[in-house]
Amino acid sequence: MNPDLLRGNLELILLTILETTPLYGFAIIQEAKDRTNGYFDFKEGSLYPALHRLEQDGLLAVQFGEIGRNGKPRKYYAITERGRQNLDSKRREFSAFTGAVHQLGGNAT
Amino acid sequence: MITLTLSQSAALNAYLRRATWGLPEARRQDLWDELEEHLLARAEQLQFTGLSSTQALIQAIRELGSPSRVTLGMAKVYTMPKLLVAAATLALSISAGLYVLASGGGVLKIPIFEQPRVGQLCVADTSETLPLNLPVLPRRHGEICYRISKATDLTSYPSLISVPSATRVMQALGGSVVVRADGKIELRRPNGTWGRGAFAFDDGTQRYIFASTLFEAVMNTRDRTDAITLSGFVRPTLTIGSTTIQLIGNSGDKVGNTIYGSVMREVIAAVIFNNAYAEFGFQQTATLPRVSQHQIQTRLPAGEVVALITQQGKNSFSTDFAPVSNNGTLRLRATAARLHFVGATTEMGLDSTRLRTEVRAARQRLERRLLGLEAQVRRARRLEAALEPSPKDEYEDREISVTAL
Repeated sequence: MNPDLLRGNLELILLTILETTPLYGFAIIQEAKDRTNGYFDFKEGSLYPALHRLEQDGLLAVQFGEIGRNGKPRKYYAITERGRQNLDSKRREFSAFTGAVHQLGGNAT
Repeated sequence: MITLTLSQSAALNAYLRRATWGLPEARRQDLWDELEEHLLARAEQLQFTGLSSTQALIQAIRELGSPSRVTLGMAKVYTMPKLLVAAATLALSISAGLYVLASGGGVLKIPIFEQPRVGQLCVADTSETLPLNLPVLPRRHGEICYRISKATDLTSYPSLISVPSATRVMQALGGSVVVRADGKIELRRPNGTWGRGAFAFDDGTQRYIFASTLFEAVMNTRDRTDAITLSGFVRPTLTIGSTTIQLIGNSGDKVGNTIYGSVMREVIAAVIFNNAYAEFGFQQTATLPRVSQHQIQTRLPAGEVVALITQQGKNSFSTDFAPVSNNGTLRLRATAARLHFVGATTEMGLDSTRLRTEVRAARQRLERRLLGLEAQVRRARRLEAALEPSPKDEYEDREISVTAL
């Protein structure tokens, strides 16, 4: 897929993945691949800055879980209430955008 | 927890160091741990596809991408100054292609001297000065000088490191060496803790400090979280964080004896107390009266180092250590005539109620209360796997072949 599309919607994708269950970084990438049959293939180096930005903005909260392969507790990201509100807002924006694109092509839904 | 080879660890640390460069310390450690877990998880996954552990780690690093991408992304999150971001861009663009090359490279080789060169040996004349049984030369201001000749036998003398070499080590670790006006040496680490050399030697060409002074300072585990790995005996290799230092002596085991002797305090603090700040006394078992030698058969690889910690009193311990020979045997000294081994550090602890019960029972069979065998914490797990079980009863189920010599 076009990497610009992924980059432009990274927050929407991450919040969606974390909507139902907290996950740690590597698991988020796996989840994105699994749920889209490999369509969402992150440039992984951009994932962590995005997660930290969402945490700084209060859209995600951090929880520490079981011990990982490096002997330290895994860092899980969980969506906050503010994150859910933001997700709803982004979904509406995205829906409006894709609807407009369809309308341009004469395929309004 | 995954165990990496030295070169794999060096490559991983080189990547992580660059990916977290310039971040505030708390954030840096946080991201370091997170990326490390990611890389190890992905490498493990890749190994299932048939890649070797090294190939898997390199592939995982490639997939995570340039460390500069991560650093610059994080810089935007934590609003690093623009100038710093620009500097990071430049530095990382230069180094980004090199991080995989870190495996096998970047080892700082430091010579350790087993005795001063022929000439003179000058020692700061303080109340702490050790008496040396050597010909004394005319006193200089504030120093006592001894004559060192080819016939001088200093085989029992402590290993030495030159001040320039000590400076290289400290600088590689982000610290510094300061030569004070009174002739003493201060070893300063980035976090502010430091060691002090009681003596500065001068053999006419260079000044020296005891190598143990340097090792004790750099391997001090208080106020730090970075991993310390020590391996090898004849040419010990010390890895602290992303820095690897190999110590090269003139010959024999003297360097190994010096560096492993220097780390015993940290091993006891970690293994027995799980507390870097624990206060206790310890000495070499060899200096105690009525010491027994034990020959121990293991399946550990040659060169692996095993240490024996024996409790001598309420808060005092004695230690001995030895490298494993080519046939898997090693010899350790202990005040007990018979040894019992445990396979986990939890079975050696002092405060667990369960352990007290076990130890009371075990004491009926032991001449002294022996806490167990331990090398460094990481090596203990490997040792456990290497020991041959010979189940007898609750306390002897991990006993291995031990013969009093």
